Amino acid sequence: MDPLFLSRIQFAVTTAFHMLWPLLSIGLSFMMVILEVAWLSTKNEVYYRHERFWSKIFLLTFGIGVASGLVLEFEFGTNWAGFSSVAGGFFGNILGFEGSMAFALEAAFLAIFIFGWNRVSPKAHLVSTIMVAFGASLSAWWIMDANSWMQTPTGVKIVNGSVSSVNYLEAILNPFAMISFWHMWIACIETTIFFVAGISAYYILKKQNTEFFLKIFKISLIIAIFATPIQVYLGDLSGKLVGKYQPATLAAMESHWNTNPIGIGATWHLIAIPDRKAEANSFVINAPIPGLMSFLDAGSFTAQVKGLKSFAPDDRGPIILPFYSFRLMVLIGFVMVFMMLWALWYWFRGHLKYEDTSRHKWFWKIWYWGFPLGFIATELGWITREVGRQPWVIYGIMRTSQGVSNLTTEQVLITLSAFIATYILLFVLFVFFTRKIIKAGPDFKSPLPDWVKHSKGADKNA
Amino acid sequence: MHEFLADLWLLILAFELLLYAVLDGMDLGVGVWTLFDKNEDHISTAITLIGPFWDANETWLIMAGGILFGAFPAVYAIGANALYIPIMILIFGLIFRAVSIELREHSQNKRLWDILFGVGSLAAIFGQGFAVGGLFGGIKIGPNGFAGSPWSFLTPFSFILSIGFLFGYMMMGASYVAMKTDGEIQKSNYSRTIVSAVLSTVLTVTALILLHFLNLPEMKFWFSRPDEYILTVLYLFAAFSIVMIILNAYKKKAKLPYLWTLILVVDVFAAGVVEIFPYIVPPNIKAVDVASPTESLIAMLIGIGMFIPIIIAYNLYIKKYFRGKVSKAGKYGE
Repeated sequence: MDPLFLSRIQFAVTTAFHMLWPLLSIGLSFMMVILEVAWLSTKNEVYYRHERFWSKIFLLTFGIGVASGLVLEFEFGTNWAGFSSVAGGFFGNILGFEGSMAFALEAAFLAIFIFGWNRVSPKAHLVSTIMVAFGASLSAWWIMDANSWMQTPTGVKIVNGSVSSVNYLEAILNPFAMISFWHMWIACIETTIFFVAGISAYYILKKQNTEFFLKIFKISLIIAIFATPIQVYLGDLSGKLVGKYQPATLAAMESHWNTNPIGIGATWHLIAIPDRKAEANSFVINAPIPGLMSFLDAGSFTAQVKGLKSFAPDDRGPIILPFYSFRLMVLIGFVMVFMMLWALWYWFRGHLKYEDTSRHKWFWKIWYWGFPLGFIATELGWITREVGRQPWVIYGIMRTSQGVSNLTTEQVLITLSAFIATYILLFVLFVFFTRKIIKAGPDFKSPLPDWVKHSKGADKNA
Repeated sequence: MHEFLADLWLLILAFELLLYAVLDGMDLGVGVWTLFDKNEDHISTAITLIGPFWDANETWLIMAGGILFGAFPAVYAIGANALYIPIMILIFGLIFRAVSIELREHSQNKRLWDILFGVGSLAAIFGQGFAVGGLFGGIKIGPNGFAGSPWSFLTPFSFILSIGFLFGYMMMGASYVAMKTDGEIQKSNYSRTIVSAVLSTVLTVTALILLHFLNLPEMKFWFSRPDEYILTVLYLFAAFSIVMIILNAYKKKAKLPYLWTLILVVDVFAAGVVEIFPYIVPPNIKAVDVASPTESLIAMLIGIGMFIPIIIAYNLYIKKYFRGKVSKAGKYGE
């Protein structure tokens, strides 16, 4: 165990943990905007009660997200000094943009969003809620942009170990940037609606505030109608981009060793056990459709897909991890589409009614157990993306091994253990307190904001 | 042009750190005081005060990190590498601070979270003190980046500086709570303001004597600068501010103790900046030597610099809605 290996594990652990929270807080903040607009336009109290209820979980999520996100910003320096001094002239700017344009906005307006219900006019409150959501999403854009640049580093000239010139347009709009951001943003939305729908299913199964939670279940479902298929489409586009800009990564994701000749499509492996020494798969189960890999990765059943053998052994990253995490992610993505279709069909058949909820136990149970699907899929996608980029930290420019700081094994071992212990503790605490919030249920009794009483529906002064 | 931009970014960085120290320093000071407090209502009141703002206050540290990373990548990289231990202490401190503020509200056993809040704040303060102190102590650089020991940051100077951070933040926390509350809790926070001001004075005098006898390299740099007369003025003014803090807290003036604490922090911070400018890692690395290329610095002016006044503006706009005193726990100036 050397500092390089330990630093990689530490970065993986801290990123994988951090990601859980913005996934939910970005999605929930978006949901809050929808609920608040619905409330202000229909004056239906249900939306207000929902917003207050979910904002409790949002606040908890946001707090842990901030604390664990700070870690990453400093970890680039503490553990990846080589990378940081080479890339900082551009990469560091983007992190700075995230802080100043996005995070500052989100964190500041949070004060009004959470604590300002009785302090500001409804308009000012709605603006604050929108600012929180906008800041959160803009954060995701800059972070995904910085990461995309590591994947497809265009527009930056590096001379003598540091950035010498930058073409900002080219660097910011690097080939991965747009698709990666939207893929991640939709992941936030999808994760959140499945989380919200899952918790709603829990209440419905327990026959607690059924009507109330059917409402948010349906709202989630409406969003899912758009989000789940779009996500499959964006995933497909991402895969094709990987094939175009990181052919070695794609070959690893598919455990594809030999480049297939043009005209004869490559077969898609459902399961594969790669053997590095023999440069072949020692066991495969193939999809029965000939040329499927060519179709999925390059758009035609006979297209050529470069195999791992066409890259120097030094330039090949891990295979098993990207191969399986990629497949599992895709599987979950389709499961989410089918769950959406199932629910939609039930809705059309009129089963999503208060009187009917006790009849379809399995439907609600499956939706209940679907609450973590988005989190798992996103984590798997991130593993595919980051492990797939190996052995590079900046694809094609700098190897991960060149990016590490000068540290001792003990240093990293101690902090890594501390992170693992702390994060397990935080996770357990979050689950414990979220359960507590869920068990307590929504609050229907606390008074509405002052201005509702003053305005009595006709809010000309608002 | 390049040198001007590099110096400008050093000053903007200093400004961000000052804002962080003033804003979050107060939050951390409140945190430390919970360790000395047995009254749960008082602690709840104090946490209510900082509750809506600590996220936003922490933003300034995150932005400062981004600026250092983007404008002076080598300093960020080698510095963070060298200061691995204090930075990790800072990080863990901030994690526990954040979590205890969020979870305390939902919990029955408040005491546990109070302690975690206090210890987290304490760790964050010492992490900051040792990181800054370690940077000023100089960093050993070899052909492959950092070449010193992981413990190089641990010097008498960085130790004294950390204690200085601690007392300064405690003073800010206490004087802020005194300004925003009434009755019993206000009274005890006036006393705390005086205690931390006296401790700061004792520390400064001890430190000067100690540093004189230990003949530390940091201090040689300190006293060899050409603009020493400005420093003399700033230090004399600092001494005057301390007197004003104690006097006003003793007289139980509403806003003046906090105001003078602010003045003191700005004054001492300014003295620090005057000491090191235009160096970024004293005694021999100037900002211009390690700055990113000109176009990066200009892009950062557009993407970060221009946003700073906007951020300050909306933060002030938001604070406007939280004016007034906090009477009871959970009630904010209503």
